[in-house]
Amino acid sequence: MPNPADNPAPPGVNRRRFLKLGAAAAAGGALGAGTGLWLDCGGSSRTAVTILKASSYRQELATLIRAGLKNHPAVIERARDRRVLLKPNLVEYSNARRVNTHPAVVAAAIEAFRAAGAREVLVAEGPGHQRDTEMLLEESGLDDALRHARAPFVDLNLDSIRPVPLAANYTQLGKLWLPDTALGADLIVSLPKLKTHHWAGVTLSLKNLMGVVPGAKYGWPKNLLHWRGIHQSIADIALALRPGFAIVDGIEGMEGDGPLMGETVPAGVLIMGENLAAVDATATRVMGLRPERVAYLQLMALHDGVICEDAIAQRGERIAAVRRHFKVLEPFAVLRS
Amino acid sequence: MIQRGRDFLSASQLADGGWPYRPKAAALLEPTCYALAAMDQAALTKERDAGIRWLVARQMPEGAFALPNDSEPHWATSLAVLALAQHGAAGPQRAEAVKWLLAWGGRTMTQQAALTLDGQLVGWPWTGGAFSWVEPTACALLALKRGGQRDHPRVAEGEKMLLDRQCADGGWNYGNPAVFGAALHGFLPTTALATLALQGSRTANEATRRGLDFLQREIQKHRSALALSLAILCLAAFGRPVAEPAATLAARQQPDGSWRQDVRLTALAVLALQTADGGPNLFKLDDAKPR
Repeated sequence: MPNPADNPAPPGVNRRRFLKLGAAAAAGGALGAGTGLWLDCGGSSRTAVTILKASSYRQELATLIRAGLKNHPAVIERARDRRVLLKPNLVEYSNARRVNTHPAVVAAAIEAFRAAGAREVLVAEGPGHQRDTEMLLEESGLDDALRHARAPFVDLNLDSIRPVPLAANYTQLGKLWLPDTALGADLIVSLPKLKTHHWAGVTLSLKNLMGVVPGAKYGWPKNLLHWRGIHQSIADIALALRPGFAIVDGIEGMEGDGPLMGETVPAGVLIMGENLAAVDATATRVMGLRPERVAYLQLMALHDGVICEDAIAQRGERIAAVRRHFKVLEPFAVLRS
Repeated sequence: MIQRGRDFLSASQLADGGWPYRPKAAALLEPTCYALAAMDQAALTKERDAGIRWLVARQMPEGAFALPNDSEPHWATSLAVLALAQHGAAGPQRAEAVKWLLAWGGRTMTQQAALTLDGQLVGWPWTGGAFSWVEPTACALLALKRGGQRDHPRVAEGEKMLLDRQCADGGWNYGNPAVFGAALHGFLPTTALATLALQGSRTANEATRRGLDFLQREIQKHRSALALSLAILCLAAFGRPVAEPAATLAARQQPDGSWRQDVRLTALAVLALQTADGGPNLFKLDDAKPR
């Protein structure tokens, strides 16, 4: 793994803070969890995160998401007359419902962004270890949902690609090849599932962005990123792509041995906001875990990521009203509150 | 049906001679390799020659192939060897690529409690600086065996690595049979490639049988073009029946002659249906019997 101490501090980041946090993140990458070194709330202004109760995939989710979007007028403005890319978490056809972002949530987000005035809404994903995207689409039910919604799907693994310089370069790769479809979108919306993760601790809207990295260059799995540090990779990808919104499908989440083999938790929430670190920090708190101990959230706090609870303007439900206590594997016991 | 698929491939070829995954995108290595392999070998066509030229131009001095505008060795080097061999083209370039493959390998890792695999076995990675996985290892083995290296120690170790990664259900996934004690299941495409890569192995009879049984069992449940095509190519290479999956695959062809407007899927479907019709098989080695 690269040593962050060898890396110059990214533009705008205090070098002393960066070195301390870099060392923490590298240790976290090696251990699979953050070290608990608390450095900063991140960000300089409050950002809004909305929590909505949603008990079933059969309820009117588009109306709910549209109501939630009203708490985020800047993203509505950003979507109007623009090209919006929705990035769900589509991983596995076996146990599809418990593993992937539910097709009903994807369909509802399509409808909500169309209602917000988006010129085009497309759905795009580059599954991480399963090359048979057609099978994933069909057996997850997403194919039917997209056909019904008349929304296009782009396999980001097989898109045209180009190298993008990494400003922060936590992975020390220097550049990352990324798909033209993602780079050309006006607004990227991450649609993850609320899950624990056996290598990263939690997988939410930022970790979901690893699916944007193209298999055509990096393979299935995109293993080079793991060797360069999961946390460092997540931060580099997020800083290169600059996603503008996230909606976490927490209607049914996963605890324990996620992202594939864990148990379903009927958490009954959707969590959304413009600042993905803030969304993930809130979602982590909803899971009964400590976001300040997730190394990639610490890294994002060095940039414009907001993870301190006091810096997040909570809309909708209070965290305490929806909090569950997700089980984590023993290496991530440090994340428990 | 096969000709309509080839017509789609011809129409999707870019002016530079390469093929993209999706029409009108930029040409990349893997779709070019499969599209080229699917072109009619009996006819010397302009498309075929342009494809060969595009591919050969992607070879770097050390023998590996690279993506356009990239200088890093690419995992599709093995496929380039197979595609060029299918047309009997670019012999010296293939020999250089085979030499490079023998020198290329994945990084190793010490035993981890979460994993059951042997991290010391060196197969082939997707990218430099990463671990070895099933698909690039299977494709490298096929290219090396096709390139006359069946008795090389790297081939024997690659086969050993595949045996180490076989799932409890008899299939192969991306390359990890279990994590934290939980058994993971095999995937159809990787099972087909891994089983094909074990052709001629002295030590893989039982693993091969289990792989073939997995394919015959699972192909009843899944209908994707990738799974059907690779399963047909594998089952046919071992003399197992393929009429039923071939009919299912043919029925999924779209009016424009493609499978999902995807060059790679269409090329693989053409290759599979051609094999099911008694034609050549891209992945079948001349002597598939155990040595």
